Amino acid sequence: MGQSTSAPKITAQDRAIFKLKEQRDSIKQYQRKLSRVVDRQSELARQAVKNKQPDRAKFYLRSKKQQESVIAKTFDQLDNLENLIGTIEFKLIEKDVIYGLQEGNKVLTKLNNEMSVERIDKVLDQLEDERIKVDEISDALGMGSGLNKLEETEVDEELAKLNEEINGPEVVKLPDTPNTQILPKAPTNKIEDKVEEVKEEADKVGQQANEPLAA
Amino acid sequence: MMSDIPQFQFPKIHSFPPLYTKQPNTTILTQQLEAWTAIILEYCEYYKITRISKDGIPKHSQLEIDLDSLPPIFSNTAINRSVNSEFKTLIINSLIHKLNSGEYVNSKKPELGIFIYWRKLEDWGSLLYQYVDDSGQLGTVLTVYELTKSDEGGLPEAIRGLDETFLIKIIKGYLMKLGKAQILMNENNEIGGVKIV
Repeated sequence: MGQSTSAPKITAQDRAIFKLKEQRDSIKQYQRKLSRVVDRQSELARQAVKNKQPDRAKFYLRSKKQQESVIAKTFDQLDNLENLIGTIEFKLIEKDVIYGLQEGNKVLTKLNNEMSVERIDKVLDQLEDERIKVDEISDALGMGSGLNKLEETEVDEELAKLNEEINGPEVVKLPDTPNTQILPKAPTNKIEDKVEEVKEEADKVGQQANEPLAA
Repeated sequence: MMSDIPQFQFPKIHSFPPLYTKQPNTTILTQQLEAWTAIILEYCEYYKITRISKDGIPKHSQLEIDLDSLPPIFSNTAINRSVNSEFKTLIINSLIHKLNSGEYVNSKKPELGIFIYWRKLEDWGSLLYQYVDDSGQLGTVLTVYELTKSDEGGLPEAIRGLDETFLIKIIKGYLMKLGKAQILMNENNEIGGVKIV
């Protein structure tokens, strides 16, 4: 064809599907032809009845019936073909999915091999070692954080002083006294009854206590 | 089934007798050719005609209409005028070469007629590609039959009822050049299917 751009490839499966679809198309075409014949025959039968030719009408109707049963059969075939085409197309997708799964699995295995626990431990150990070395070197060179504890407190004090100069003396804010009533409300009813009950009970207990114990 | 659509309203100039005779003055002739090509394109777009004969007779429409019942392009019975075949050829050549809005189906077989591009070939190609993409059929083999004659395929109206040769033209003339399509031959060694990716 002399195409300059790369054309999509036609695979053997494509060809197979193409063949099936062509057959499907030819059945459809056949159905189209038959239904036209059927239409024509019913028209002819109608005319024959009008012209008082019952035999002729019957002939057309019979032949129409036959065509109709052929059409019904072709629908079955069409169904079969469509099913087959659908199955093949679906299988092709399944194939792709399986291929995708396989490839994914390969990559995952490879990644897992690279990430074994011992290796990671080793790498982390090495990292820690290196960090310690860096600290040692910094200390040796008198760098590190640079200041000792005394110097650090001096810095803090100076910062506090600066703060006072700029923002004014720090006012310590005490929390407000709560406004809400925090005491529970005193009960308003039946307080006397309860007191009496309590008294009675206390009396009972008292009586019991006062009774001499049966020895 | 015939769909009835109101008749195409030709522009006023179609009833102007001098339009039907080739004018000797080149400036006027140029205007005359412009008028004619505009009429052809409007007419074909109106009736969704994708192919006409070299005498200007509609050969294929996307609509289910009786092509014989359409008003003729190159004659006007009301004023009793028609274009002669020499002038027709001139008009059609102008449509093809000057406007790039037409093309012989097969330059070796002029009797097959002329494609009329009231929609550019690239735009036809995009419409077709979009349909195949939207319907999830990229990479699937499709038959020419199902893309042109299928009554259940759910083809969008814009690309329904296309002429087979025109469909093949869209595929070969545009999609294949982009590397987006490949054709399959049937047993009669004709293009029977296409795979669009």
